[in-house]
Amino acid sequence: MSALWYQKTAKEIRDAVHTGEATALDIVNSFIAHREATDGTIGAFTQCWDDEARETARSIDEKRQQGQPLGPLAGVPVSLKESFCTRLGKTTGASRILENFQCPYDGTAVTRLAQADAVFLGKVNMDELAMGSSTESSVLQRTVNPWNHDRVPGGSSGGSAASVAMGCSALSLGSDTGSSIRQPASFSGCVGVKPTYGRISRFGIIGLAPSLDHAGPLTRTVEDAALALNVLCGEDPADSTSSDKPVPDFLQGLSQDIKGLKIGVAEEYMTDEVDEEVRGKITEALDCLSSLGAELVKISLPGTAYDAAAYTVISTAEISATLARLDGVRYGMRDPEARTVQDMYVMSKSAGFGPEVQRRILLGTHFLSGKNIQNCFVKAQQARSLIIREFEEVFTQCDVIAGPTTPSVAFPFGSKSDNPVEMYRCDRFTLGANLATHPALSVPCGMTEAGLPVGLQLQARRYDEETLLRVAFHYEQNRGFDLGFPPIS
Amino acid sequence: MQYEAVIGMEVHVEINCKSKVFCGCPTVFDAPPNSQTCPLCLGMPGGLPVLNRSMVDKSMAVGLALNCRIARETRMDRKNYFYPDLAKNYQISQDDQPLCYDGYLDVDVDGEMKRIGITRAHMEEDTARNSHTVGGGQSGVDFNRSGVALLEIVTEPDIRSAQEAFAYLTALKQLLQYLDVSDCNMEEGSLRAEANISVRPVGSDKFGTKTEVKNVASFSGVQKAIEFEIARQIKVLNDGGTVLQETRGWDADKGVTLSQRLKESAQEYRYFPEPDVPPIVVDDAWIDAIQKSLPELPTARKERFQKEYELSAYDAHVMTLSRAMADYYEAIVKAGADPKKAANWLMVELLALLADAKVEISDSPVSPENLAALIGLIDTNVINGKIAKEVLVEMFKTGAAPAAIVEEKGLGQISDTSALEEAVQAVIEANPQQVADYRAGKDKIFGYFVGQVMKATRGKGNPQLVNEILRRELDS
Amino acid sequence: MDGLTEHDIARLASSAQLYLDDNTRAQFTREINKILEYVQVLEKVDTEGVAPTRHATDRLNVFREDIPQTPLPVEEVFKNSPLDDGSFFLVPRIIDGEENS
Repeated sequence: MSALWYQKTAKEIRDAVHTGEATALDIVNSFIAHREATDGTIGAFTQCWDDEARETARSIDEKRQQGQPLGPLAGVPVSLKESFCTRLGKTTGASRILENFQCPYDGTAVTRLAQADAVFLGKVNMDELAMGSSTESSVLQRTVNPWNHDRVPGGSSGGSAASVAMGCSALSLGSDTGSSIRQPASFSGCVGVKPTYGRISRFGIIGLAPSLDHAGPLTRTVEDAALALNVLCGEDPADSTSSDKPVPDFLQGLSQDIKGLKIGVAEEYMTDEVDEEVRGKITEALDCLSSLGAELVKISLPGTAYDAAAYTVISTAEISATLARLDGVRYGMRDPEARTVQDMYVMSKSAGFGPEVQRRILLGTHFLSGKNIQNCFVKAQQARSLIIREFEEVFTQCDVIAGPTTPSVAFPFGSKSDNPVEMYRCDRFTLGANLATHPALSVPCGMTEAGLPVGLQLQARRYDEETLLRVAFHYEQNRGFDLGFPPIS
Repeated sequence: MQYEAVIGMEVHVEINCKSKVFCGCPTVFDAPPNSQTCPLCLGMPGGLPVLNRSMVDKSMAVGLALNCRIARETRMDRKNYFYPDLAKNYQISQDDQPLCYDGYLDVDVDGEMKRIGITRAHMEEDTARNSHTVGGGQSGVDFNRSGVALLEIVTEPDIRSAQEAFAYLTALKQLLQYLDVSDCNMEEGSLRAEANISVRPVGSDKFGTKTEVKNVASFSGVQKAIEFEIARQIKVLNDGGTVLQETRGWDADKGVTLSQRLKESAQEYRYFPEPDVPPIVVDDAWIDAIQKSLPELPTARKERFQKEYELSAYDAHVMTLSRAMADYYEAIVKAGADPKKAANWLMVELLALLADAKVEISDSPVSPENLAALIGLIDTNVINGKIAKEVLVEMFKTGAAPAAIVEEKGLGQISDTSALEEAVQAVIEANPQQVADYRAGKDKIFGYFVGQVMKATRGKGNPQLVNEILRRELDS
Repeated sequence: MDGLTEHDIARLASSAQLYLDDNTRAQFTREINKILEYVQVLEKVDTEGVAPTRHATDRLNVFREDIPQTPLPVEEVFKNSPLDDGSFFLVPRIIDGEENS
């Protein structure tokens, strides 16, 4: 039994450490051993902090022996996306330009996890600077989909999703600017939550598009996500955009049933463009929700037709400014051959950024130049207002919106990476929640014939993570299958 | 052709917050390079700006003192450009919604009041400081200044001469110091002035091509640079040339402006709203609170000094040059000194000592209370005015109270009648010829006897008593 | 929105301090034009009189008090520096007059 701790949920682990059923050290060792056995193939982990993890585990066990209170994530093995700033190890953003960056501080989300007695196992892979949907643009390594090694794990938090699905970490911290938690959760078969904008501090995350960036947990169960959100959410004086709204106990909120809740089903999410098999799984999920007493209502989200366009303009514009700081002056890569200031910038950036990053910077620069500011950027911000309005209106008709997280399941390597438009398109169901800032999650809702996970996306009103999680929890408890773990090859 | 100059000023002033505008780093001047930095002001990934409340309060105070309107809804923006002194390669500033706009400042140009329109005053962060002294074909960058609170104050093109520009800067600095929002030290870079200068034929309502003059280290330098630039532009036009739109630097040693950078097209800053800083909404209560907290401003204080203390316009002007001076003056008066005497002693005697020693009035070793006590010693005949000046010098050296100095040095005035009578008697006896002359009607010689008595008493004789006794003895 | 030429892309790259070789420039021109075409759908959205969403946060007036905090120790400041002399970050010589503000 003790050897199989990696198969347990974060909640089970936490309870076991609290009661003394297991030591944190045993648990951590179980995860490390499992990672050693599997991650050579999966490639999720970019940094392994085994010694430090064991040390933290020992100190947690000591705390318990001394009768000191333990945190709500005591002994829970956690992996961190490469974009989370930590004093320990490197913070690379999976980019050449930050290859050796050792951050002098811990971000708030990381600090909160540490204070809750979580144990950091290391960092995991991502698309370069969180730009991408497949983790293919990482300069560090390739991460494969744990269910099919010829396919991508999703992105940009691909390493997070793969490590959790594989059982190499019980919880992973990811970030989501357009889809980057939910899409890899869907592709790799785990739960991924993007809470309301401002719920989790952005302080200490390599920023991308500040008005769209969200942090959130990836876990194997909805209950674990609720547990993690209890720790992660809350106002942070270091992030002026963090919400000061009270944070309820999300775990407690799970139990109440979902009878009478209205589940909105948008026609725009169930078109022919969605793979038939995916649509089938979503329909089954909707039937399940219906059988639990929820009422399905038809809704319409015509903004889905242009939210990807608005997202592209706003995100790239913000990216072009936010990433300007990566210039090789104070940290990061610099070409020693640079003889002028201009050369220094150009050589650092051209060699330090991959093509996806460069392309988005160029696009963003374009959208902020001359008349484009008004014609494109402000126009997109106006469109964003319409999208916000549309969701507000829809949320007067329903409590939760349900649909596929992505139009298709995990795709093979190389199949979309040279087609940016295609890549943006596969995010089209997830972008709305980033633009409108309301919470959304992806929960596994089945496997295709080919053995690839399908994700059900649920979205709820701003700050109503409670209802969101409750619906997901009841669905998960009653969906009629156990995803289990991918086979170890 | 007759030309007139059209000048607008842009002043960057560092606001004296204790910490930077978006992070908690301290702002002590002259700290070792890069010792006052953190991930945010070094532009590291993940840092987020949190606006310093004090910066908004102080900026609003400046705006109100400059008769500006205060934006009810405003925000910060990103101004994008690449430069090694810019940690994030964008500056958090304000674009189209400055906190303060549409104001004016009345300035005294040689006794004439001139109104200079204030276009805007907006909040931003300062840049790092580049050092060109490190050698090896390299420049050094010190990020201590990166993120220091900076207010940019822009005038309308209302200024017509170098002298007016000088008067504007003087009045602005005076105002900022009254508000206690900046030390306005140009040498330390806490106040930086740039002038946009163009010339046009007198009577024209069009603007000529402007040049922007930078790198000036003093107000008089600004005045000289503007004078030079006006003359240069007129000469260019008179020679049939055209003025190029460019940035020119002032070379104080050579006394010339030199071209630094051509501005063929406006640099594109790609401004957009800073998503990391929530919007700022200003209500009446906030504006009222700042308005109420404003100190009495220079013009009002000068008028009050004329009325309340019956000072001349000139004296009131000098007494209100700086808030420190005015505060010092009022402290002397409050300690019981006669307002006019207080003004005289401050203006004539103490300011001279301060100027010689290059000490600011706020650091004066002579406290206002002690200066009032010194005036009191004269009023009560303990010492005379001449001795008082010596005592003041001693006070300036040691900071001691005047009574203690008088006592220690035995400088107290002799008001003891019998002692003075003795001295008078001795002088009369020693000068029979002069006594005879006086008694024969040579009145003018009286002063001679006073001098002799004072000499005998080493200047300490109470002048009034000496006069009285001499008259009595000589006229008897 | 007209398409961008390779020259336009080169100009954007220069603004963004990027160097593009001929192949990359040609490739980016193609890809970016595809994206711009796709983004054109926005032109059809009626945004007349709609206020732009400039901030994602619903908070207003978030300030910190003016209290100095301990700065980063100097060894941390330079830990990641590509080039420094222990006091200053070093960069290729900045030519006078390039100065911006």
